[in-house]
Amino acid sequence: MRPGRPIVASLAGCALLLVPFLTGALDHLALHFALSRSEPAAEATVSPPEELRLWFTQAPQQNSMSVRLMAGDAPVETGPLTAAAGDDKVYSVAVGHTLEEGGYNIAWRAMAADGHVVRGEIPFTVRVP
Amino acid sequence: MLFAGLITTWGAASSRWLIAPRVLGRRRHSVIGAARIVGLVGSVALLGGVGLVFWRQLRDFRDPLIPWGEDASMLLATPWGLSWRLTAIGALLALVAFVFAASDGRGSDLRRASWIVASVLAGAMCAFPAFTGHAASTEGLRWLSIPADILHVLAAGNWIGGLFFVLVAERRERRRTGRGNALLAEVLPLYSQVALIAGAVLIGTGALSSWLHVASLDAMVSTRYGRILLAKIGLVLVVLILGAVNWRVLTPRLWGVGGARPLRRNAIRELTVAHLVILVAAMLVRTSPLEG
Repeated sequence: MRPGRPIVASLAGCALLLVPFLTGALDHLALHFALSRSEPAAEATVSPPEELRLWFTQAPQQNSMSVRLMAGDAPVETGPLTAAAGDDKVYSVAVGHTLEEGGYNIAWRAMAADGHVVRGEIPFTVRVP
Repeated sequence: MLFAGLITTWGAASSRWLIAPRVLGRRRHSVIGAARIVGLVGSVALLGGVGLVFWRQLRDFRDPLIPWGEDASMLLATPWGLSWRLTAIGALLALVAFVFAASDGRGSDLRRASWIVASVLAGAMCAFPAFTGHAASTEGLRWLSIPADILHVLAAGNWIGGLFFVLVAERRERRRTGRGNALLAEVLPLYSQVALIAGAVLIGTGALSSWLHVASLDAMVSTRYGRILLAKIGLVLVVLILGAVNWRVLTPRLWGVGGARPLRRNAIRELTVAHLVILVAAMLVRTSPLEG
């Protein structure tokens, strides 16, 4: 093999790889871990929820997920965190009792498949009808 | 430090098998000794890097409402934790294997087998970044991204770790005989063959990873990830130029005025910039491609 051939081949490969770049062939949000939605939604005003539910773009790493319901600085007791049957991108936590009116925050943390620890907060308000 | 350790350790192992056996006479033993030294240095750096990576990950993972120990146990129970545990055990065993490895390629069966164990471990540990980094997050394309990432690290080891090996071998030869020219004249053509293929693999797999993680050409400048990637590409170009100067300009002048010194100096520059590339690569691993 001529010495320069691997470099020429790889440069040609790079040029081909630019094609998907230019056409935007990949949905990059789906390629990386993020919260896609939640119930209650961020900033929503809702009646006392029976459970908190979070949807992610990808499955978090096993055993890395944590969800806490906070009323101000105080944690509110909830049930265990469970993954939805058949969909490891959806997690829920049962709220064991009726929440009083006021502002709450869902503080979540998860580790993505790429090792990034991602955190977020979902503030919402409970209003008793 | 983890990346530098991985690359150096694999560079030592691959040079032991790809370059040293083709070196003639007594010089071969000296070259194998150099590979062992590089392997020892790499394994120590790797052990340190593995420890630092765990500390950093635990700090990121920290939940202030539970004790540190509980957080650490939880982290170790994740797939990331499993990869980390395997790499930590591998790094420790690789260090022990390099300690026992025969410095001249001869000796007892145990000492020769230690080279095989060290090399297999060094290669296997190069999979750690792929299974714990961005390559693992490309859902649906992992069959492509993970092998590409492993190849990228292995090729970096062949190139950068191999260059470190050449410099250590030359230094040992210079200490022994007063001149490193003869060794370089024999080793460099062998190293160049390996480095050329490694360079091609590095560029190809690097381009593939860029395609997988950067949404568009605009994102190369509009995201933090893209900007760090541009810095990495710039530094890689500098390494390529320095490597090309070593290969095409300074190697043919090995027997000219100044002897091996200009080549040695330029190779040290290449190695230094290559380590900057490793540093930037570590920053890239820590940055989400979605960050603005």
